[in-house]
Amino acid sequence: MRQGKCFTEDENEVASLLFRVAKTLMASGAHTARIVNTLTRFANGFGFDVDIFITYGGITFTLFHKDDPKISCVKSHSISIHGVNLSLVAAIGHLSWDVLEKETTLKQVVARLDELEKKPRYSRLTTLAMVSLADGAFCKLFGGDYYGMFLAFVATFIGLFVRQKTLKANLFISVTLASFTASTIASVGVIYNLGETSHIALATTVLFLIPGVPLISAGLDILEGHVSTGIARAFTASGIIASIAAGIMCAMFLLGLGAWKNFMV
Amino acid sequence: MIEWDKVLLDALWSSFAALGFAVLFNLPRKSLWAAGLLGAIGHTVRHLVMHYHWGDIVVGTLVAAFTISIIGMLIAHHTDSPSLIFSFCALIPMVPGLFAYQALISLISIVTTEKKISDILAQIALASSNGLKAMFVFFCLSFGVAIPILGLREIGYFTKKKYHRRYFK
Repeated sequence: MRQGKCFTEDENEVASLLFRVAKTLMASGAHTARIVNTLTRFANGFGFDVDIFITYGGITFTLFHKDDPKISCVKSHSISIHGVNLSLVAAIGHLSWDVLEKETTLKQVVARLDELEKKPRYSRLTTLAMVSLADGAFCKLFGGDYYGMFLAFVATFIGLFVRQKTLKANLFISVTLASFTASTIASVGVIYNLGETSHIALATTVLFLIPGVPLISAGLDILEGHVSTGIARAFTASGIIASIAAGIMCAMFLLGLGAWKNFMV
Repeated sequence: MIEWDKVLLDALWSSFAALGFAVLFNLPRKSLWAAGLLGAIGHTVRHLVMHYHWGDIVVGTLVAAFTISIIGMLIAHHTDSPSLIFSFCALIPMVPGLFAYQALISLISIVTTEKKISDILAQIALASSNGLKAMFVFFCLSFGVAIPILGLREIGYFTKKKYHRRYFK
C-alpha cells in the first residue's frame, strides 16, 4: 500500500541498520524469534514500529513511524548464511537493549557494530585443539579407550583443518572433504589395529561436523511458529549429515573397508 | 547399583565435549564455564534417567534438555549473555547425529544388498528404527529447551529482577 510519503535519508539509515543486524544474526545462527525480537527492540529504540517477515534466504520488513503511522517504508534483502558466532549474537542482544534503554544514537550503534564484526574469534590453534579434545571425549563416552581417544583427536585435528581451509567453497563440498579426510585417517587406525576401539574412534571423529546449531534452531523455529524457516534449516542440516555420510563412505571404499554397512557403535 | 566414579568421569568428558563446541561456535569467554557445567549436568541427568529405567534415550534427552534450559536461565545473569547461547553448546553433544547417520547408511544398504527380501526388510527395519529414534530425540531436544523459554519466564522471579527482561527475552 503506497502512502505517498517517503522516508528521509536518516530514516533510511535506520532501515539499513535493521537489515544489517538481521543479516549478521542470521549468519551467526540465531533462531528466528530472537531475530524478530532484537529487530523490534532496535526499531522501537529509534522510534519506529516494525512488521517483519523472515525466510531462510531473505528478509522483508515494513517500518512505521510511531508518531505518524501513515509514513512507512518496505525493504527486502537477501541474507547470506555462514559461520556460527555466538559472541556476536550475545553482543547484538546487549546492543539492542542499550538502544531501547540508554538513548544510544544511530552513529554510535553503527560504530559498535563495526567494532563487533572486527572482533577476532578464538585463535585457530585453540579451536583445533579444543574441538579435537571434544571428539576424543565423545570417543571415550561411546566406550572407547585412550588409544581410540588419541586416534579420534588426531583425525579430528586434520579434518577440522581441512574444513577451515575450505570455508570459501560450497558448504556441502567442504563438509564432505573434511569428513573424508577425518575418516581416512581414522580408518588407517582400524586397518593397523591401533587399540581395540579404533572403530569407535572412526564413528566419533566426524561428530564435529554435525550441524547442531541449525538443527536446534530448526526445532525452536517450528515450535515458535516460523515453520518455513525451520523446515529450511532442517533440510540444510540433513544435507550436511548426508555429506558427512558420503565422506565416510568414500574413505571406506577407497581403503577397502567393507565394514561401512554394519558400521554401528 | 550405580558406579559414581564412572558417572563423574563421563560428566568430565561431556563437559569437554560441550566446551569444544563452545570454542568452535565462538562463545564469549565469560560464558565458557557455564557451557562446560551444563554439558556435564545434561549428560549426567540423561545417564541417570536411563540407568534407573525411568525412560529410554528419548525421555532421557527430554529431561536433560529441560534441566539444562532451566539451570541455564538461573545462571544467565552471572555469565552476561542470554541463556540460550550457552545452553546450545551443552545440547549439541546430545544431537542424535549417530542415529541419523546410521539410518542413512541403512537406506543406502538397501541398494547394495543382494535381492533377498529378508535382507532388504532388515535394512528397512534398521533404517526406520534409527531414523525415528533420531527424529524423536531431536524433537524432544527442541521441546525440552523451548518449554522453559516459552512458558516459564516467571522463573526470573528466582533471579535478580533487573536482569530478568534482559536475559530471558
